[in-house]
Amino acid sequence: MTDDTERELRLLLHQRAEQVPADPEPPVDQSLARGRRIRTRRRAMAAAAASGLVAATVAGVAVFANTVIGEGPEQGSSVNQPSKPSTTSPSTDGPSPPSTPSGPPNVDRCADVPADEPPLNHGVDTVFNPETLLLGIGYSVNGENRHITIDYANDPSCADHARLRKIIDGVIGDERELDPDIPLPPWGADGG
Amino acid sequence: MRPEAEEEFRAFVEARSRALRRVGYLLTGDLHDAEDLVQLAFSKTYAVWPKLQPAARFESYVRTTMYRAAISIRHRRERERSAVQTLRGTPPDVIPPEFGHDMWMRLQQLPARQRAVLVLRYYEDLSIAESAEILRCSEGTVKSQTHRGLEKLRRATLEASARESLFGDRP
Repeated sequence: MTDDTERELRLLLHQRAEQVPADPEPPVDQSLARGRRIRTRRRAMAAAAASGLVAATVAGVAVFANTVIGEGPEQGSSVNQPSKPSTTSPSTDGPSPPSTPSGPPNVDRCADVPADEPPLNHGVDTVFNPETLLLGIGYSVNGENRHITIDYANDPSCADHARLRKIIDGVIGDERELDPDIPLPPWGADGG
Repeated sequence: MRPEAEEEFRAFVEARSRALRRVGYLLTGDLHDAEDLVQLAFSKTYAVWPKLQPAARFESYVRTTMYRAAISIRHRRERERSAVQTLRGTPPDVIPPEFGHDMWMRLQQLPARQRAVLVLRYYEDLSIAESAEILRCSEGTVKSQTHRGLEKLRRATLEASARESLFGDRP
């Protein structure tokens, strides 16, 4: 015997199914490539966060930007905006709050950075905001403070939200599963 | 794989993607998870494609893979999602709310197997025996899971109605 709940459920399931958009699936090979890029980003962001304030040379910054964020002109360079003076620079006064190498990156620090935070004086710092999907990178070149903002939400190489959310998932909870075979960018102990 | 088989697989994917994504959405409650589920099922199907002749077995295999995968991965997904939602809040429902939002949210609360059974029985209109075969369980399990799932939905609906009549607000 069919009751109201069964009828409502049947109707709901069919209505919901009808609403699923007819987006084409990405080709499998592109998905795999994208997955690797994401893992690289996750590892990079986790490592950047673990190291807190990363002292790096300008060359190191270039390598960082090319290796971690740019990923080649056809994949992500459009998200690299030209360097410009920082208006909302991330915190640079002293090292970041302690974090273990395998612990969550400094996503929580975003909320702690006051809007009038003074610009960077030296080194490189990164702040990733999971709400806006913006990754801010502050650094210094010949005493001039610069700030790059990477807008993952508009990154054509990971534009769909499923992948974006996986980035967030990975950043927040999955660092321990990062692939150790993916080499880290050459910053860190000898980076500056 | 032979070129003809490759072409056959490609045609199958193109023909069935949307229908399978719909099922995936009903199973996971999330369009992106549905896409992942379909991709997973296709990739598993591709690996055994040459052995799946005749063609009538293609659909059955990929569908069975999807249902079983949905049950096995849902627990892990829920843990991940819970951690993310703690920080970011519950993501908005991508489907307009007029499409039975309350009942849909109650459906999300059901265990994966109960939800899969309900999708098989009330969306796919499969028999108890067919549902049991896909889920690799007994017919008795399908019956009991269907009963429990519906009972939870009924109870939740009644509670929501009572709350609304008492306090005048929606759950």
